This record gives sequence, C-alpha cells and structure tokens, in this order.
Amino acid sequence: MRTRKLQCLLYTLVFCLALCSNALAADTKNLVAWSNNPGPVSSDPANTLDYLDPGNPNEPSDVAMLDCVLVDDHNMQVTIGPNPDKKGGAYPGYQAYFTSAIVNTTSDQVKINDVVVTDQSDAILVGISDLSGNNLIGKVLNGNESIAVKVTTRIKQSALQTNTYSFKIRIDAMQEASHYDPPKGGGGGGGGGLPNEPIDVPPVDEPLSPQIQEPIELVTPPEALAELPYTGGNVALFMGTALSLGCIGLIMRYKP
Amino acid sequence: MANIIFITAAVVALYPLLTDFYARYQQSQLSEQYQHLIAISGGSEAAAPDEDESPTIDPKLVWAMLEIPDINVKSPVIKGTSPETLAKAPGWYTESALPGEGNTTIAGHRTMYGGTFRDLAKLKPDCVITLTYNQHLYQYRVQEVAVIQSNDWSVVEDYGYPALTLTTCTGSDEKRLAVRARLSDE
Repeated sequence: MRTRKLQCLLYTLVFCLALCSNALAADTKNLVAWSNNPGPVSSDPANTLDYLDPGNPNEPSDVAMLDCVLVDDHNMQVTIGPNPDKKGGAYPGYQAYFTSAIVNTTSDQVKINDVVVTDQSDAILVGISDLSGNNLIGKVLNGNESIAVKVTTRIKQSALQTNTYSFKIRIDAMQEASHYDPPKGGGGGGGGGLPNEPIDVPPVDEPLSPQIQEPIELVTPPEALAELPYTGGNVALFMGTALSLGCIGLIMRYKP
Repeated sequence: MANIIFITAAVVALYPLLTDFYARYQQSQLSEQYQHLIAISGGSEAAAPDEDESPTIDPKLVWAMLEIPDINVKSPVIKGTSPETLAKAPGWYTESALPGEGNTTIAGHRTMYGGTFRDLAKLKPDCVITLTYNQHLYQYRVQEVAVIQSNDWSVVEDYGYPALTLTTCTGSDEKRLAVRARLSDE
C-alpha cells in the first residue's frame, strides 16, 4: 500500500515536471511541410517570357525570372530577379508561379490556415491553390496526405522597379477536429481567390513595361537581423529535467 | 539501469554549476596571464624575462579587463562574441569601437558560465565602470539601463561620444538587457 502511494506520488511528480520542463504543443508552423518529391518547378525560369495580365497590350518580354529552392522542410526560398545574363529585374505587377507538393506531417487532420511570406511581405502577394486553381486556404488534409500545389507570386504595384526579391514561403496549418475528409478526385469545390485575380490589376492604358534604366541598380532587399549574442541559460530547465529523471529512477528502483 | 538514470540526472543537474566552474577557471587563468603579460611589458630591466621564458598567453586573447565595483565584477574581456568565446569570459563585439574611440560594446553571461553580468540590472545611473585596455584605464559612468529587443543592433552603433555598452540576456529569449555608460572625464 505504501509502495503504491509512493508510485502514485512519483508518477504525478514526473507528469508535472514533464509539463514544466519540456512540454510544447505542435507548432502551427510545422504541421505541413514542403515535399521534395517532386521538387519545385518555376513557371518563369531563365530565358522564358514573362507572364502578362489579360488585356495587357504589350508584347511579352523576358525581363525577370523566378527561382525557387527548398531550404528546409518548411521553407521554400523564392528569388525573383533579373535573368543571369541580362539587365532588368523584378517589377511591379510581375507575376509567376511554381508548382510543388505539400504534405501533412502528422497523422491527424490539419487545416491550411495561411501561406506566409517572410522577409519581403510588404512587396509580395502570394496565393496557393491546387493544380486546378482552387484556393487551398481552409483546405483540410488528412493524416500524412500529400497534394500537388501551385503557388502564385505577384509583385505589388507599390514595390520597387528593377529589383531583386528574395523571400521564404511557409505553409501554416492547425489541427482540425477529427472527421474524415475523403480525398476528392479532381479538386472539386472551392472558389478562386488567388492571384489569378490579382489584387493590383494595372489599368489597360498603363502598359506594364519595365522601366529599364541606365545604369541599373539592383537594390539588395534588407535581410532579417540576427540576434544579439545569447548570454542566458535556463537553469530551471536543467533542474526540471534532472528531477524528472530522478523520479523515473526512483520508480524503477522501488517498483514491486 | 536505475543507477544509470540517477547518474544522468545528477550530471544534468550539475551542468549549470560545471559551466560556472569552467568559466571561473578560464577567467582566473586569463587574469593571471594578463597580469604576467603586463609585468613583462612593464619596461623594467628587472622585470625582463629570461630568454627561455615566454608568456603562455596568446596576447590577443585577453583584450581588456573590466571592473564594476558596485556589483563586484572584475573580469577579463576577450575578443569576439561567439558562444565558445562567451563561455570563457565576457566578449567584445568586434563590430563596435575600441575604447575611447566610440561606442565599445561587451556581452557577458547572466546565467551559467560564471554569470559575470548576473547583477547588471542592479546598476544605477552614475555607477562607475572601468575598462583597462592597452594599459590605459578608461572610466565610464552609467547613463541608462534598458531592456531592448534581441535583434536591436543599435547597441554597437556610435552615440557620438566615447561610450561603453554592456549587454546580457534577460529571462526572455526575445529581449536583452543593455547598460550604456559614458566615458568620464575624471
């Protein structure tokens, strides 16, 4: 009886210490990951004519390009800038997309909340859809489900001319209350709401021709500042972990 | 198995203390060697070393000596602010100015690794801080103690006058504590 009481006490203590030492809920940033199978494919690599909005009277030209590469499971690095051997650069109204795949990394359902741009959020519009053009914000993915996506980016009208934009795109999701959402064939339902309907549509009488000036200065976008040196240390975390381990040792030593 | 877990628990619990011992040992070694170096370079023939004797210290390692009497700090300062450097002693931001030439910035641990800047928050305006660099004594008086963002690099910028800025962590990963002091004419 006494041993059992001791066991209950120790289990409670371990549980409480586990909560305060290292208990973190799943971060919304890490529920959905980019898949590298297949890897991202840009719609506007080098030596490809830029996209023109419907109704744009200009002749298509190749002024900018979009390059995308997976830097880690959750961040897609996108660079929009000039072609390697040409002058020019990204310009307001430039639009391109890349196709890739995303995967629910958990075994539970998750709902896609947002597609987040870091480092250049003031200059870039981003939308995510499936390959049929259906908006994926609000889409529920079943456990470990993977889907092909199309991520469209557009340079805002307020952005700089002939610039280079380098930013990361991340998919935020949250755990969904469990009900089975059978996979749909062909992506039914849902509307657009993507930069297929760009928010800043240039008027037809304002030709979207890039202003190539001599000499061209590519403005390097500001990088996120690194943190000052870390000079702390969570002593409580070490003590909590040590106590948890000690309690586990006691349980193992005194269990009948 | 239980014994292994107990031993692991003991090591984990003692780790912060071990880092303190490590840092204090490093700092005492650095201080001794710094004093030895000063004695050797004192200029006196009597103090001139034998040909065989050479300082064991890398003269570039101890950058300066920092003293803050009000919080009982007396510590060598070394160059750089990498984690390995700061594990030994407070480190000088190489992005900042040399003493007397602008804003000199030094980072130090608040907890673990000796906790040299543990009591930095207790400093008040007009508290004295001395920095001995290149055998010259610079005396500063505290102007401001403030909590800043962890990516606020204005702490290494020039203020327009010779200054000393000390930084350390607060309890939050997103904040830092900064003490700004002005070079005193006294």
